[in-house]
Amino acid sequence: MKRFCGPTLSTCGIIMSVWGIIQLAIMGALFHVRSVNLVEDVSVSEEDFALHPDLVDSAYKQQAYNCWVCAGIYVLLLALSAQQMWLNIKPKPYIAA
Amino acid sequence: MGSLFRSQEMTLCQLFLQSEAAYACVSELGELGLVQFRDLNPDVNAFQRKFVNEIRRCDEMERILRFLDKEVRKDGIPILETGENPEAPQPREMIDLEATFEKLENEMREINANSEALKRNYLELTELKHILRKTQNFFDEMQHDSNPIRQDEDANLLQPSLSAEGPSEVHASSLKLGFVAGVILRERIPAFERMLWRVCRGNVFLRHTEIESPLEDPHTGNEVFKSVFIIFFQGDQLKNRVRKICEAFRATLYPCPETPTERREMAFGVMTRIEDLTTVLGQTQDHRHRVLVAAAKNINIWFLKVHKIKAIYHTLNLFNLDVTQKCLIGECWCPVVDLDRIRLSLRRGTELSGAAVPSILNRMDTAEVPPTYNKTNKFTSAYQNIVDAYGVANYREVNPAPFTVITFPFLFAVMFGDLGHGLVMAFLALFLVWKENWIMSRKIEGEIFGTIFGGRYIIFLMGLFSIYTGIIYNDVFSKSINIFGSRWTANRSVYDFQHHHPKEGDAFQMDPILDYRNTSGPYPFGIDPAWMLADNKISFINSFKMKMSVILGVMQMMFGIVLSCFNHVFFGRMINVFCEFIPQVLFLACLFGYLVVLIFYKWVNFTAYESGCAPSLLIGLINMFLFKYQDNPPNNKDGTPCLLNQFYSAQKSFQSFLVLLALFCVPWMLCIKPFIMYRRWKAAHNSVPLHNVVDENGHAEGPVKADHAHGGGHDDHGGGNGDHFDTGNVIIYQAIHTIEFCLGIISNTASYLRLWALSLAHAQLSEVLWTMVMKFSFSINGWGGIPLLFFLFMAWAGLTLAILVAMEGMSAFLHALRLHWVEFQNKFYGGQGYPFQPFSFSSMLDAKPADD
Repeated sequence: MKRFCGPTLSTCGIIMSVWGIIQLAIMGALFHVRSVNLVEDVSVSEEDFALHPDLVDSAYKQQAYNCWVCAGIYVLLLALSAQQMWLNIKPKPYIAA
Repeated sequence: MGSLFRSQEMTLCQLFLQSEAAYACVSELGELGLVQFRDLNPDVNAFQRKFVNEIRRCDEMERILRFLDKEVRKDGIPILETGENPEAPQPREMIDLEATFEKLENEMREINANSEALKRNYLELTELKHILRKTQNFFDEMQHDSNPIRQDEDANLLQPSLSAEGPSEVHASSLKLGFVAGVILRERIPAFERMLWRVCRGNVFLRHTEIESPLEDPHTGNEVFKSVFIIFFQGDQLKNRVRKICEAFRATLYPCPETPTERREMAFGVMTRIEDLTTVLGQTQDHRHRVLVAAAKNINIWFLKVHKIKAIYHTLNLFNLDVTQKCLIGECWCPVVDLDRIRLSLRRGTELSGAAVPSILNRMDTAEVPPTYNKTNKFTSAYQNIVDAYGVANYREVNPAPFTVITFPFLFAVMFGDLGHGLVMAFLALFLVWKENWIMSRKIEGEIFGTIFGGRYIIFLMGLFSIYTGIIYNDVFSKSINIFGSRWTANRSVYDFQHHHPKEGDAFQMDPILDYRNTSGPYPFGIDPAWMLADNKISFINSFKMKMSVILGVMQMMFGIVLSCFNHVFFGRMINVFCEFIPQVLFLACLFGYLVVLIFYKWVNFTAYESGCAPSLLIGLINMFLFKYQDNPPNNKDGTPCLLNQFYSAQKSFQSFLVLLALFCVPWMLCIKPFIMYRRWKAAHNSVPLHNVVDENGHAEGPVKADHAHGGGHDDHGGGNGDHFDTGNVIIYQAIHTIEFCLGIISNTASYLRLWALSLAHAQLSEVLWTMVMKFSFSINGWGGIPLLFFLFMAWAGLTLAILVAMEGMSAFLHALRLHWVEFQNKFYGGQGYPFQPFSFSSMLDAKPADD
């Protein structure tokens, strides 16, 4: 595939996606087990919280899946950045020689 | 590896080098890098020194090398970086080097001159080619246009001549037109046109067209864009004017034949000559390339060699010549522990040069203060730099750097406490540490990167400590983690809560007595995660962090005072131990040491049942200074505020005793030392007979000078004033120090509260970032949240890096720096020394890229 970003951008992409994969995977797991600490982050109104516990459950589930899908997208981004990085590094010896 | 606690013991040495061996010996010492030479001829200017000729030759060689380097870079030939470190060449090799360089330079100059001439020639031919081609177009157009115009207007000035005979430069007839053709820089065309119009009053006709391809300027090698122009005019007078204007505009004029056939022939000729020139030019370029590639292989090593030779002769210029001219005498500072290594390399140098007489290194006694030399490695050097940035330590005084290794990252982490940010920082620094050899070999330019890379070990430790404090604060990107299980339980129903506190409305308040599960002890490590969800989280954490700041501050200041005792004992100033160190410790312990004890007492002693009625520390401290106590036993039932309660029964008398003791320390620090010094001086003065005044003066001044740096002022009075003890100066000096210390203790303790303030700011900022960015990305309750989450996570991570890790990290770094420089070091650190700068090839070559 063609090289379309330089060494800095691909490094940036690698760091960002590694971070994203780790953190989003963990956060997905935390949403899945319905962590209390994330209760303010789930978008459920206060009345629903008291009256419809099933709504809260589904919201937690939804955010967990969102996090995991995003982690998956970051895996793709990581692969792309790594491939670009590889292209950036590889021709170096030929230029120098 | 010497101890970092004090700087190395230094000695002044005299060095006798035989003339023949001097060069080799100095070269060996340069490789060793452990001696600092002193200039023995400070009055002699640079041109009158012994080895001025050699240095001039080195300069000349450097000039040639720089010229070659420039040429190599111009052609984009890669320079070989072997990382090799050649020995300094022998003096006789210098001649070879010079010859090589001179030959190379001459060759290069010749090639350059030739290729410039060839290129100029080529340029002219190319321009001529373009002129012939473009003017042909003009003439063709004229031919096409002329007929209809001629029918319209017979009196037309231009067309008849063109159509009839073609253009002619030397036509005598008034109807015949002349022309000149040439080439001019494209940007000059508008001005040129206007000038022609004005000067010739519109009587000339200018046509111009652009040459599409850029031409190469033979002199500078830059690409320039030019235009071909042709000017038609009538008469000799106009012709002269036109030529002058062309000259003024630096246009190059070329002869252009009048008839089409001649032009065609000329064009053919030009084409063949261009072809010939191209081959010759190609050969010249090839030759030049070959020469430069050969030079590029060696140029770095040559640079190193010449630098070394030059440095050696510079050093030899600092030496004195013996009367017999047989030997050179130098003086140098060197560390005592390394004397053997220095002697060894001197012997090696002597053997290398084949001299018969060995070189001699003699220790000398001197009254001068030696330079400060701390042996550091790649880990400690960054910390030493932090300390040295404030001031280089006095010779052999306690060096704060080894303590800074731990206290600096720790105080930083107290302000930066966040597990997530600490992890990010530690991983970035870990990468730099892990790949340090690779990064160093890359030689990445840039001041900011250099600073970060130089401090990679500090940053790594700062990251690790931030992870630790982050766990203590239970803070990960403003969220908490529940590892051991929160001790707070909501085992009552909602209605119980509301019943318990009816006026709170629907807010649930947890009661430490009812809702705290204490059977397995408190939360084992750090703050209970339940606090992260509490409304009163900030007031709880503030109280904890403020107390912690005071405790850490008092500990560090006390440690600084203890270090000052090490200095007093080491330099034999016992008077300072009794008149400064002891009252200082008492002063700090009575005021803020006592506060620290009370803090711990309050933490440990009050249970949940009585915590609502605990005495206030701050008001208690203020009342302690004001001697204000409640007379009656406190009876909180009738409205007396709890915060005025007493911690224990004998509080009033004990606290009063502490304050009075601290106050007593002030005159102790202020008066006793000047008094003892006066007594000592007087005793020494009386015990010596009068005729020995000069001798006695030296004795009397000895202790005074040793006791305070201020002795210089005393010295100024000269020998005749020996019976004068400068009471005023001594007392003022002591008063300033005492006031500075006493006020400093109070203001510095307050200054340590920045630990709390910065830590609060950091936690709040990361919470704000989470609520503004990350929380928003969960606001869509469906699959549509995925792209939102994807992009907002990136934004959040970027902002976390830029604001929380980089900016907040910088601010916490600066505050930690200040706490060390001011609050910690002013208790013991003089910082009046001067650094040891050894003559060393490696440090010289490291510094080299900076001035290139």
